[in-house]
Amino acid sequence: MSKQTHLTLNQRNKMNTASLAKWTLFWMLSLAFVSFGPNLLWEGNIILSVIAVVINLAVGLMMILANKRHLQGLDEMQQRLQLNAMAITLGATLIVGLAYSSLDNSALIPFTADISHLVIFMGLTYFFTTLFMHKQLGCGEEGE
Amino acid sequence: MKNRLKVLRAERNYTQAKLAELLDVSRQTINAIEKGKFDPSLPLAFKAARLFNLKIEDIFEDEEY
Repeated sequence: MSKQTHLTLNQRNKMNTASLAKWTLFWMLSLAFVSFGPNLLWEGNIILSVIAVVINLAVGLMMILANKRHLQGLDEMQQRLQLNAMAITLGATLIVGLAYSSLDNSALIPFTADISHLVIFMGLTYFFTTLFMHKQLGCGEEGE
Repeated sequence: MKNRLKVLRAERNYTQAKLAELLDVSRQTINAIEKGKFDPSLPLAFKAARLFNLKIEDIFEDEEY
């Protein structure tokens, strides 16, 4: 963040959000290659599959670093808000994820407990928690 | 924690956005502090005190006392 100290909060946020969006897009594309490449592009070639996974992990690491920079660029209330939203998301995902897995293991649900369901649950929990916190802190209120 | 941020801001004809810019925080943060929904950190309180040329206790007041 030291390189960004001459920037205003808005400039910093804009730059960090753009960087995060860019790395998230790259990560999604690399994940698509890992998921669909073996069947649609390189017909099960193991070396190419391994390379795709390594690239996916490397791009994922860059996305995590971009997210860290983004969080560090926020002001203290925004950081607190994000921390609370992430804490609730982590806790809810752990509890619901394990319960969901148990339901599958006990054959109490008619379908397989897929990891993608958990990712969707995480996204929705994080989204609604952030929305709730914004409302609680009056972030949507008009300025004076 | 109660504070006089809104009064001090009004005395200097600052908007929330202007004060936010001067303190390097978001306008929403200024709004939340003024409404007592968020307590600022010590560094931010010192920054505000420096900006208004006051002591921290002249701006922020602990409601327990």
